[in-house]
Amino acid sequence: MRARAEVRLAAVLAAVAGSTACDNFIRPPDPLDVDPDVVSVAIMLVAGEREARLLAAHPHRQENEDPPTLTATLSGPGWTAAFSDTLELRACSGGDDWPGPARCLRAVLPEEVRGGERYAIEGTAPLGSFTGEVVLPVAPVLIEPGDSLHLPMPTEYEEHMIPMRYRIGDDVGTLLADVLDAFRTEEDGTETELESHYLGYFGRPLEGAEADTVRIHYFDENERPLRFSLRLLGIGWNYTNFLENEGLFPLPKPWPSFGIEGEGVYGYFDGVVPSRVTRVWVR
Amino acid sequence: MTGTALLIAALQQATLSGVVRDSVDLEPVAFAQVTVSGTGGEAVAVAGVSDRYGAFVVPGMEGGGAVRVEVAAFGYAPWTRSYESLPADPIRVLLAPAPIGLEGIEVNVAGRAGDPISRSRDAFVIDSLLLRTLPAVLETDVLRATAVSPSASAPSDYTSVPFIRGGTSEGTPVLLDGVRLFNAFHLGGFLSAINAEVVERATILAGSGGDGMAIGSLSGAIDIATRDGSRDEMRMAGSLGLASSRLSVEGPIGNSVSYLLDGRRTYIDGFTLALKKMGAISDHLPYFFQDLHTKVTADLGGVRRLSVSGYRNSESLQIHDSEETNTLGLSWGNSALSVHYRDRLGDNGIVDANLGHSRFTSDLFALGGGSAVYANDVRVEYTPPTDTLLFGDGIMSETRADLRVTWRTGRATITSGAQATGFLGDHDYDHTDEFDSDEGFFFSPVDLRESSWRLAAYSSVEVPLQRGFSTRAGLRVDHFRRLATTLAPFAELSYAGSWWDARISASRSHQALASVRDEEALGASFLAYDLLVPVSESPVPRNTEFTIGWEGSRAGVRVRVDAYARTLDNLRLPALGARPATGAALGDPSLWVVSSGSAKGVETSWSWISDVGFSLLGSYRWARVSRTVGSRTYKPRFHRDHEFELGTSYAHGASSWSARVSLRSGQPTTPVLAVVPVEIHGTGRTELVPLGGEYNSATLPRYARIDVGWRRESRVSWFGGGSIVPYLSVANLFSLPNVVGGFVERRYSTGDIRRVYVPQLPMIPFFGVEFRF
Repeated sequence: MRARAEVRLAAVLAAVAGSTACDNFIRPPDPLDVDPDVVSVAIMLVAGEREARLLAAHPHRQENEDPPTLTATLSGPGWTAAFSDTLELRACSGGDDWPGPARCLRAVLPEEVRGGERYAIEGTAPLGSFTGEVVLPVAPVLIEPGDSLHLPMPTEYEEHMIPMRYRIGDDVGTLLADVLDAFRTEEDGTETELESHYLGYFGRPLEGAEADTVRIHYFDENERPLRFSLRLLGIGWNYTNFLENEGLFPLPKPWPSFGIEGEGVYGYFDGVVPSRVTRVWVR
Repeated sequence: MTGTALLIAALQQATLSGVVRDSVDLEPVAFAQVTVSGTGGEAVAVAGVSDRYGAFVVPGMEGGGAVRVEVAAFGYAPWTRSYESLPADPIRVLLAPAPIGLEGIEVNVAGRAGDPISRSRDAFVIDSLLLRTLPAVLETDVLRATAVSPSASAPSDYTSVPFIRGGTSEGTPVLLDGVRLFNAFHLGGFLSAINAEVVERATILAGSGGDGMAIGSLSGAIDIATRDGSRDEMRMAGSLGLASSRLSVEGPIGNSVSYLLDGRRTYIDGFTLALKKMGAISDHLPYFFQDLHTKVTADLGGVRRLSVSGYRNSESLQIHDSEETNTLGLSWGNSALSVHYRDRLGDNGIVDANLGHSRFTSDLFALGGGSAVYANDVRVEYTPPTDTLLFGDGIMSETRADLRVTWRTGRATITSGAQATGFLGDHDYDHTDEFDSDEGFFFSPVDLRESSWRLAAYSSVEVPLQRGFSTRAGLRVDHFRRLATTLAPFAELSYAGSWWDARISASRSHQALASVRDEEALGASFLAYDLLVPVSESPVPRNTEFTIGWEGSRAGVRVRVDAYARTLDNLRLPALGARPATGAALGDPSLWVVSSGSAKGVETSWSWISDVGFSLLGSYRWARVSRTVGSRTYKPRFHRDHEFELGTSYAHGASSWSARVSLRSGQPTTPVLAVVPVEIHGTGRTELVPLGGEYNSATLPRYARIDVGWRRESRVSWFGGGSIVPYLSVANLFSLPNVVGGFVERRYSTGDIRRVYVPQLPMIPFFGVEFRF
């Protein structure tokens, strides 16, 4: 009898264990204890432009909440300019999945942004003040292709491999190939502008120190000619350091330089410097 | 003059030596207290303790008179003999199991677990019966059991090998019958590779002084001794469990030789294949392990003995994806051979000679590049994988010769030894960029070949002083080829009172082995495997430690408290990368840098073993552990500041119940300050950058787990009589959601930012049956 009772108890034990198992196998996620007033700041100056844009967001808040309120001024060689205009969010971000309530601010500059030049920013955000500094990289030098390149019209869907040779300085952290001004010539002679992603995936960094190959996807059954411009974009290390640390696990201190420092303000302050342009014809 | 007088006095003293054995199966009984006293009452009693082979040498008796010899060991009836004069030849002490009363029934409790605290001042000793009183995880596991020591900390639920006092696995060799066993586990570290059926005891040496001097490692050792094998009749034991079956056969060969043969084979592969054929699962797991161990022991009379122990295991995993376009094959194995010879050296000495060789081999191979085209779920085109994605193999081996003399003269005990150790580490693994799978979480390319040898000599002396004080002191000298000659001193002062004793000691140790493991990688919590390579350049890794301890026993309760502080210099550790958790668990030690570490803590343990079947074993440990790599000092990810363990068992009739409670503070983690978006320039795509605070300056949620077990022994008449023991255990009974890591996730649907946890072991029941005939 005693043995049977003990076996029953063992069975009950197993049943109790089984009943608790299903729902509690894994600890459910916890809300992250982060400050809702934190502001993220993304500033990418573009060489050749006479304005600067700043994307500020509350990344820890719901999107239906108010975007951050901050003041910021950009200073260049002998001038300062306030981020005083508010633009559509699309003016600051190419995508529409920017997390949290965000605001796009613009500063009109007295001169064009220049590669190799030093720029600084300072401002205040809900949790305190912030400062930042960047020296834009010197423009990459595109050696090959030359000013123009003619490619044959492919007979089937295939990649055009365009070898590129270039020279960049140590101040370039990320080198991108960039397609712009892409037009397809229709049968009636008019031109239709194409989005650059129509020609392939851009934004992938070029890895070679002095040369690499760009892949262009284009195939048209009607063999309509295509023309576009190809150039290099050099981006500094502040952005590069920041992007390199995207992921799921927190980046412990000390962090590499992102160009922005401040109380409750995190992000990056950098710039994009283009090379000369190569005109490419596919026909 | 004084020295001459002492020498003359020593020469006039007589010595008693012998071996203590179990009276049933003639297995040696270790830790037996041997007391020799003159029957006339005028002579002072002298005492000794039997060693791991049951041998004892008790010098210091004044010759000529009648003597009484008393031997006491836990679980055995006291043994007493009187002699007209002190026997000149070694005596043989056969201890009979001690009958004690259990609710009015007289039962045999030779099988009662011993007290792990009291058996050795240098170690925590887990005998085979304590091993079985702990709830099994998958099956009875000797390495998992060692974590009940307050010095031992399990780095995760998935690895059975604990870390000792803030050290890591490369500093704590696992020894099987005196020889290092590399990667002494299966299933990625989940299950010990040593068959619990044949384990006599596991000794956790926490420090480098005392008995640890003979090891010469940074963080003690886990020393597993197997039984000699039954000398009275052939016996068979084994088990059928969820994952594997074990079998051991032992018995006598003639009058003085015994053998022990045991093996284990998993059937995970067959089990999952059967489930797949039944349609219960979609893919079966072609994984297996097996191990085989044998030992032959010759009793050559008195303390003389010769034993040969051999071990071999293999493990293999062959997997492919559902379309069979990628394959991965892993195979590895372990072998070890040890020979031990013991003889008497004069009247007062024992000489032990050990020769051991151990070898670990591994082989990895992965193919990709295959393709499959399906139409209506039928494969119409198939190209098998032919591109090599991962390849490599490796060997590590250690050969060791050890000669040790233990000499007792007068009141002093002198231990001297010499060792020669050769080590080879040859590992060559590489993978292509296309090898982008979960395995990349574990492996990174490595190409290393280093060999080295080490010569060592050590000596220590233990001298009782006056008024209960005694001292031990020793020195170990190591010569590491092409590196350095090092000195490792040891000193201890102890006091023994009527019911308590205390000690204070300092010691140093060196070892010239580095590990490929990166303990900061999250994958290290799931994979216990380690590859060792000799350190190729000075300085030699070094451990310096100070300990102070107190131990007392009252009313059947024994309490032990130890405090320690240690520094680890010249370690080889990987530099902390930007995000250490995402590194490969097994990296390239040629990239490691000279680093340091420290640990300090207080360990308490207590035990109570009643005569009515109830026993309690508990421990609490507080410690601080750090590592310094370059300019960065951090708390290692495996460390917890607080650990509380409580094991209890209750035997009632033929059944026994056991429970094990573990409460631990959380492991360190990096706090998150902000989760900041970044747009990949020119794409419109956004990624998140979680920005953290100081590395490992926060902690994960606390850990709590309760394991329970039940066993019932039934006598059966099969095969001439024996017993079968069905067992049931449940690991993490309440499925408490413990975690081993965490990461950040943002839910775009709601905007919530959450910490998602990497889980520890959920509730899992295990069952099986053990048998003995």
